[in-house]
Amino acid sequence: MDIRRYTRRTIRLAVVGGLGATLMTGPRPVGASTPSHTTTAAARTPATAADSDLAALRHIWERQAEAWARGDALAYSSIYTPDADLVNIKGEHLHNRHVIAARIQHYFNGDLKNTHILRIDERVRLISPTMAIIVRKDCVLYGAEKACRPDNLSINTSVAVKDAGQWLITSFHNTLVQALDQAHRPFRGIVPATWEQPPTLSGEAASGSTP
Amino acid sequence: MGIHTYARGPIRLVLMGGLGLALTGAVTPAQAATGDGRAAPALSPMMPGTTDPDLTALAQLWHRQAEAWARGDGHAYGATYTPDADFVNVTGEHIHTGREIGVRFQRYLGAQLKDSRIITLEEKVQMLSPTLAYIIRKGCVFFRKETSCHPNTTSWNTSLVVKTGGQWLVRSFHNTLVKPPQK
Repeated sequence: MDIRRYTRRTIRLAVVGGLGATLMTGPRPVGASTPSHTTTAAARTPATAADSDLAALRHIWERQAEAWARGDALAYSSIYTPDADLVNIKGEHLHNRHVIAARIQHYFNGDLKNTHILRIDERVRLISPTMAIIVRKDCVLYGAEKACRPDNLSINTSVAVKDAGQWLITSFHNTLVQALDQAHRPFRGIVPATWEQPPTLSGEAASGSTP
Repeated sequence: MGIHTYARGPIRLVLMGGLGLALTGAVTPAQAATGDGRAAPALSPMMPGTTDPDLTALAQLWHRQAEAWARGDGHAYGATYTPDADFVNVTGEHIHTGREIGVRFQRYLGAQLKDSRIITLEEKVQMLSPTLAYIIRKGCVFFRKETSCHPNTTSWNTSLVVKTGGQWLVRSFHNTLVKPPQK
């Protein structure tokens, strides 16, 4: 299982909604912590077809971000398989590309008007030549915002499949990242008898990924 | 795309870990998830009578998780994940590796998830390949003597399950609470 990790604190992107202007800012590596397990895995990976797959997988997000910034849900949904599942941060389950397009367009016309998305951290893991898992942190920027607000930082998992040479998303599942004080209670009202702050994940640049 | 839908909820299942009791029914079926154009056989690994060995194994894997959860055994729960698994819980916490999942759950199951068990309301399983299964599931957590899902614990989760060395293990799990329609 090849594991590759791509982490960016600030991403070049982003098209400011509607205006089509593209800002380019240099990608900066995340903080000091370099996970040893992933670099080991990466070092094993020969520069082969896997590299072009990884590039294609990263490009999916860029296509989505551009479509998002234009408020174009049809383009946004075109990177999903026809039978894809999408679970958004509200726990809405959207099944199939048409439903995704319709629902996202509804949001683009309303709550998500004039917004764009910013990628904070991304880990792409090829689990077979035709399947990848992408775990990503990103957020929605409103208007002229340049940085993520803590209350709309989210973490999402995408399952990508390669069909006829093209990578598409067959599953996207998103969860808002809660502030630590709320994260103490993953489910309702159960107060822990004891709680220790979650340790920094070994091998993960967790502390550096939240703006 | 070679994707076959093996199952589509709602499934009224269920399993009560630890004690080994099985409850059936009484669980509110989830709202229709949206238009689904695919025809799918009414078959699920959660349903008794499944003969497909992989679907049976996937059901057994979930039962192992539920039993480990119910008896508060976080390490056994973590052992149902691959060594390189990714796990995102409802608070957006990302846990990497099966071992770390076990360590974290050992703590959670003794604290905020003490005396609880997991319930599946509905699920859909797709075999993406002979060694890769994709499962999207709606479920909840019962605390103590609860017998119906509280809205605050009802969630959708997506699992990618891989078969290696003849054994199915969860490679990726991502969970999101279902929030009320009006935020």
